[in-house]
Amino acid sequence: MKDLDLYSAVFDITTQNMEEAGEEFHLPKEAFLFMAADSPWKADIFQISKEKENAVFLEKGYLACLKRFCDEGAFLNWQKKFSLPKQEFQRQLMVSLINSEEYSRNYVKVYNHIYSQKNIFGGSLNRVQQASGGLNVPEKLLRVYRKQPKFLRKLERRILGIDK
Amino acid sequence: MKLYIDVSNLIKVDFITGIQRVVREILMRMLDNKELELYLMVYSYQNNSFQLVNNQKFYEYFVSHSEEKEGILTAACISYDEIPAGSVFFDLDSVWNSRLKRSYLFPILKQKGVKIVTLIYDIIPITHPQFCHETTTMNFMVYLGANLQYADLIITSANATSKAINEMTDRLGIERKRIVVIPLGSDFTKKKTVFKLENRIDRTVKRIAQGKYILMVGTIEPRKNHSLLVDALEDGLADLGITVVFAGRMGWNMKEFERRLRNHKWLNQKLFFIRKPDDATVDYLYKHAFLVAFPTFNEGFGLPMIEAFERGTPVAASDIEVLHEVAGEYADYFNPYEKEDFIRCVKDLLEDPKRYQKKKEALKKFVPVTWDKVAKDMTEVLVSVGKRKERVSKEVKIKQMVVLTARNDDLLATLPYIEAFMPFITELLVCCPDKNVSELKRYYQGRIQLNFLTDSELLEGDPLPKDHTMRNFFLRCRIVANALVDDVFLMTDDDYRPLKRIVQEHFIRDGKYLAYYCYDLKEWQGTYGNPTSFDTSMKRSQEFLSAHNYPTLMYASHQMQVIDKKIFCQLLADYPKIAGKGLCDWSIYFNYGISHYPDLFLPVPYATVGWPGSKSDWNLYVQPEKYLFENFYGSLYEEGGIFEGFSKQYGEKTEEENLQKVVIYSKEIQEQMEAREIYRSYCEGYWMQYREIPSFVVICGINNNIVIHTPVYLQFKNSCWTRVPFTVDSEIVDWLGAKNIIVSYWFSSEENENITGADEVEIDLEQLEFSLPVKAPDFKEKGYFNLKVVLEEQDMVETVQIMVNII
Repeated sequence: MKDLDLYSAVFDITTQNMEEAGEEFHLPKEAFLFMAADSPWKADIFQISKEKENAVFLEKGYLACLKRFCDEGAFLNWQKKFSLPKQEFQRQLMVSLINSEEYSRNYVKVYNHIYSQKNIFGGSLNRVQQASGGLNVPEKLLRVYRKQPKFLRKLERRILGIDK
Repeated sequence: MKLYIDVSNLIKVDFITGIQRVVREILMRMLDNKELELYLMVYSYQNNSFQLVNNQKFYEYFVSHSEEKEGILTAACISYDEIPAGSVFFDLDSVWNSRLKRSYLFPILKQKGVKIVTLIYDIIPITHPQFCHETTTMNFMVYLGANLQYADLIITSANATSKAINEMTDRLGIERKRIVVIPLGSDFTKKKTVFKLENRIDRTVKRIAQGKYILMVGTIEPRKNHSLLVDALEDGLADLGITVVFAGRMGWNMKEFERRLRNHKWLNQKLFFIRKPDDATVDYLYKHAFLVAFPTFNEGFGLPMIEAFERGTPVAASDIEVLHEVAGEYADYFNPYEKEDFIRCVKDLLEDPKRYQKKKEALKKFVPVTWDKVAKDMTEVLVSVGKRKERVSKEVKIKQMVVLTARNDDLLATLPYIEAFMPFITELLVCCPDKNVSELKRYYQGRIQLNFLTDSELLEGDPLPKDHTMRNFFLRCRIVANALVDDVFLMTDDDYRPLKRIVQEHFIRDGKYLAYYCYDLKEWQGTYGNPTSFDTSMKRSQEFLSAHNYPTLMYASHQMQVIDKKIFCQLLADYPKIAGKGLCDWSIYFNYGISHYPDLFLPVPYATVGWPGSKSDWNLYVQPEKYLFENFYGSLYEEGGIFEGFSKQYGEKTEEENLQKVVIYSKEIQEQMEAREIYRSYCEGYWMQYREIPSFVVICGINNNIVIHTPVYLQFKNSCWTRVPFTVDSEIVDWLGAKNIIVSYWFSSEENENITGADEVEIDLEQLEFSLPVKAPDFKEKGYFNLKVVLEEQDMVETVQIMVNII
């Protein structure tokens, strides 16, 4: 049995016991499994950003950055934002957690912080300084070629004998 | 025996009840035991390591309270991967709430050959989660899961807990753990403890003790069922002249009960709550109580019952299995869900003084288990686990080497080195294609006897796998099982050369096989971002080992290693289909062996020149402490190579040249380590400044374009290779359909003039996380690091420029 399969099975058994006692867990299984695989000092933001559910991301974010589950007060606060689009919710939570005093005391090292606005290149996000000096002439030509409409690119390929 | 114990929780909390008391009592006694080399530790998340405790000060603090708590910790730290092989890691504190989860810690300890023993008090958070705080249950599930996988031995205090653990493993469909039951002690803390004299007990307590009272000792929490006593008091006990005393601290989820207590009309008249009583007060209360009640819904042991018995006080306990096991006929039992039954139980004793007296008389015969005995029993168990049971026989003399080769030239070039530097090798079993045999026989005339196992003999008509690593593993599995192979032999490749005189002690030391490792398979990212056949074999091996809960160190150290045939054959018998899986023979064998025979193996850092062959190949995981072998790469001897000018063949100057090669290679490695250290301190500084570790992430933007997250600035050591972490979003593959990306980089000056050419790497997106090898310019300066990411098929390109310091 693989590590996470075992933890998953332990969770299922405990959940069943809980339900037989007429109660239920509020914390999601995904967060529990994340905790079982988590490191005591590292938080990979890119990895947890794949989470689709804001409620689950909230717990994963707390576990990753503060190494604990979200407390009741904070949960009620963030619950109001569960309807936000995934990326916006994730961004707000990460900025809040990483700027918190608790995080600064916790010595957790954040990796792949894709919600950091410090240096992002490309796409619809902030475009910082773009390099151009490094491109040689064929590369520059290639860039021009790539910016052309598809039909023109096809035509040029045929003329150059690349496509038959 | 070295014994490592995490006492973080005991040090952290400001109360001593339940588990903390057990931990204290056992450790006090273990500290007296000279047989144990005891390391008490506290997890420090600041250093991500264990901070060592001063044992003497610890003892003085907990026994005579003559030390300040702050003075207990020393400045010395030990990383958890520094706990040595053969030692025992013993968990007996309530560690499930620790930030250092056992799911993270235990695989690392197992990897190092450390034995794990855990005292599990109960598994109530699993069997009765409704009585526990949800986060406690979550933490406990991880703790139990890790123990069920990795513990070498579990200690419980009752058969009922052992039974519950066995039921759990059965439900999970995994092998039952070895469990030893050691009942807990009940005598209060040991000799040096200064108990308050009776005349120093609080007056309130003394006044309470003058009446007839029922006592409940322990943390007030839902599981303990304190409300039953309040209900019973209101519904009849008070009329009988009985009062109720709770001694303990207020625990989780008891706000409503606390309110009920606080507002109770009989508070401090017929109902008393003594918060956080000290040992002397509890002792006094036990001695003077009419009855000790234990109405718990579930329990791991029931220490208050035993403590009451020891002081001659009768007990009324819940009618549950574990309490029957612990208290037997000494206690009276009632249904914890029915207050009437509890009142009946009390009345039986109250209205029949003869019976009550008889009960008290019977308790005089009660023989409590002492903490001395508990500590002694536990020490015996721990020593038995830590004891080295097996050793490699002193009779073993290695004389055979087994080589798998298809290249006669390489083998013929290597043989003179073996002849010269390994005099104890008298036989070489050459496993090769049939056609190679005659040439080898013809050209080799040395002292070593060559024997042959040809492909046709090994395959017996079966097809030979085409892939290089598949073929190697397949053949080696067959070779080892062959009758021509000695019980203990050296396995090698045709280009592994000894650098100097090698003796048997380089392979077997102090009764242990040395297992030379070079990496952790979980960390292995391979050469560049393009997995070779070797890399995929490492990945498959890691998956196989992890799936079977074996450690995952990488032993493909490109040097000779010693193999115990019996253990290899046992591996083949346990996994009959393994030969066709294309795994790493070295890593599979050693991790399997270390897991099954931890006393027979000692993992040590590898000792190979030429692994890695090139500085850009991969970051070192472990630095060799010495060099014994060379992984021969002809290219290193060619123009521009680090061994340019040295002979590729054995000759008169070989010994002298080998010494020089070791110096050159060590320097190369040292430079690489320095470059890595510079990058590491840059990461630390960056983290201090920006609260994140610098890294590159290529993600798929909202408009299906490329977005690159980069550090604000970079820092490299001049003229050295540094590997920079790089992650590619799986959506680049899933949404954009890319199978590979081309990453190129170059450096430019502050004036934006290129100062290096572009280096380009094609990355196969089978692997989404990799390290980009970056060669810094030869001179020190500030400038820009330019990075270009191209998705050729998708006609997409993104180029970025980052400030860089070359130092």
